Amino acid sequence: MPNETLARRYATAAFQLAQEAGKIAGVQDDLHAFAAALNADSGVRRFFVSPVIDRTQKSEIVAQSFSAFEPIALHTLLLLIRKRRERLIDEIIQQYDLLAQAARGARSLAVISARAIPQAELDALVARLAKAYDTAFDVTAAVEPDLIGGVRITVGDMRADGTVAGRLDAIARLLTTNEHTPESTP
Amino acid sequence: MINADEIAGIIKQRIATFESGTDEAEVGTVIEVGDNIARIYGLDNAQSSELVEFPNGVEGIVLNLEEDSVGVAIMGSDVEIKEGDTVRRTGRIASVPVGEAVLGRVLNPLGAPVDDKGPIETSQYRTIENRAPTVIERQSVKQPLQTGIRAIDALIPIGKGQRELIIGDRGTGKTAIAIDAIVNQKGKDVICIYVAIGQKNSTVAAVAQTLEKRGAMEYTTIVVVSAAEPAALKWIAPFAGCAMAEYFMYQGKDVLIIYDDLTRHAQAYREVSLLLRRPPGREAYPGDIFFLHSRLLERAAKLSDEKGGGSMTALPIVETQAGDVSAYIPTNVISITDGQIYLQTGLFFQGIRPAVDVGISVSRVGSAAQTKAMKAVAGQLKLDLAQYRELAAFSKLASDLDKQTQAQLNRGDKTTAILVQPQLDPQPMEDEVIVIFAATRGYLDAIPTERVQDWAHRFIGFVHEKHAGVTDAIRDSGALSDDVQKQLIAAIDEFNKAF
Repeated sequence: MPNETLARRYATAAFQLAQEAGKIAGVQDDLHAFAAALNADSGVRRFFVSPVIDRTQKSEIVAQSFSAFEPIALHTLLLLIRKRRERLIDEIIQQYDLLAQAARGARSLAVISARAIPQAELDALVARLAKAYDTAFDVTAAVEPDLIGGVRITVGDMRADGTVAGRLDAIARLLTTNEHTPESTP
Repeated sequence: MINADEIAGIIKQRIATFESGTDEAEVGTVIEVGDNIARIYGLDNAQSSELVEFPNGVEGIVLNLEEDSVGVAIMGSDVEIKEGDTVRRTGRIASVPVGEAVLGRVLNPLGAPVDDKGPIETSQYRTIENRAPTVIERQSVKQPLQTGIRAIDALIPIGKGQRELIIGDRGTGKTAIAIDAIVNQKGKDVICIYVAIGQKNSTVAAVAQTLEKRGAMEYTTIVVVSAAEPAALKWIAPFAGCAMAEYFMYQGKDVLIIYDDLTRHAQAYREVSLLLRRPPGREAYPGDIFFLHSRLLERAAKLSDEKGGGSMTALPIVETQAGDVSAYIPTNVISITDGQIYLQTGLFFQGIRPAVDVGISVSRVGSAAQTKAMKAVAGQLKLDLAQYRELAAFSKLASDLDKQTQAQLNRGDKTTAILVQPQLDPQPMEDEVIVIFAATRGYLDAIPTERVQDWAHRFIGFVHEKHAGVTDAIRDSGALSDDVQKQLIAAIDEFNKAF
């Protein structure tokens, strides 16, 4: 998506400034606080993304309301207003999070299970995975009763499926398709 | 049909041997889907032209690898695919079933049968994109591939392993020539593959029926993708047909493959490319449209003896608009192929069918593969026709012309008439030779032009009946010896007296 590429430019710039200033977490918190404000009230979001509202006016209001923000975060918002890129804000925050995660040397790990896993068990699981992958993880755990039993783990693009539903799917695939290995070029 | 118990047995065995480990896969997420194109986030390691699988079992081909996403052409219906669906890599490249099992069948480009003859029973598969034979692996074209059409076999001969383009406007009989060529391969140990790209299903059904009726289906495979199917399927269809043909070629057999037609194929590829936002070039075709066709046609070859000596002869078909051969796709394919058979609307409506314009049709390598007998008569035929074309402009003033010119015009009329041939009436080489011999030696000069067809038809019957030795000798030796010529002349004289 072109939006994603654009958003990454802004996110990278903001992130590098924050990194130089040693305020990665602070800026991240502020950006998330801003996103929360947008999500809390649809009026606020409409005001922020609307192209109709005068830019100087919008800048003033944003600068006043969020004056407590880190200057880097606030300036990013004001630059977005000046460049008419307000709609990219969610994407930018997402990309910023990814950069922050990469800077910490962590990867995201999603653990989806049929029933809630006790915290101790989850910690043990994450610890073993962290050892296997030799990295730290930002863990998101979710419960999906449709999986019937077992866990499904996603690290980046890799998905390891140890659920009952996944096995049933695999059987269905085995029975309905003709797996074959094509002959190679002579 | 296998019975229910057997099916239950197979399922039981499959479930029993099912390994229930954790299933590891690389997955991505659909972020955009429409027009049979999907954009997928993730799948960072996906390779170009790899197959990916959507949740409902539909497969797609990875075409674009971009910074943030991959572009996938969906080979099937996209209606059940939603934004957010999980897509998994398969690690496979598209492949089709090959081997004896596909003969006599009508298949779609993924190798699934679309006739009612049950599943394809083969364990052999072949990837649809393969490397073309190298220089070392080839030898020059040297054996004739008889189409059974006098005009082509005599003037634009096709050799085994050649690529000969059939080009012309709509309704000039391009497909008819291809079908005649297939029908003529009966009993000649040549396997035929007919790839119908973006045609009406009714047309393809008619072709299949014709071939069935002529007993040609037993050595023929039809790969069909109708106009209503996704562009991605149309795009892979010729490659799928080519893979099936290649299998036989590497087995040392002779194969004839027909791509009907590459204009629609190019349009399908243009559609996919534009939807994937690749930059358009001339006539909005993408930059690699030449490579698309050259890599396909380059796979046709006459293999060296070390490689088994098999061959793949390709007859691509291209449709022109108002006879414009200088449009983009026609010029591309003309430059890739070893010659072209040019069909003209004007000739078609004059009743010269097949409507081959012998003046601008050429075969760049085929003459090396012509039999001696055919070569002996074709030389004079070419000369007669060339002189006739030069004089044809004066033919309206025929009464004012001198004797010699009139004679030349008359000869031209007869030789042109001899090249007219009804559809689905392919003839063996020896029959073609005796008729052309008679025409070029002037034995038809006294026959009224409108009766020439009748003459040829009855003369062939006469020779088979009374002078079978002549045709047998030509067929067996492939040459036209003086002795045979004498016998033939005697036969013609005898026949002309009674005609």
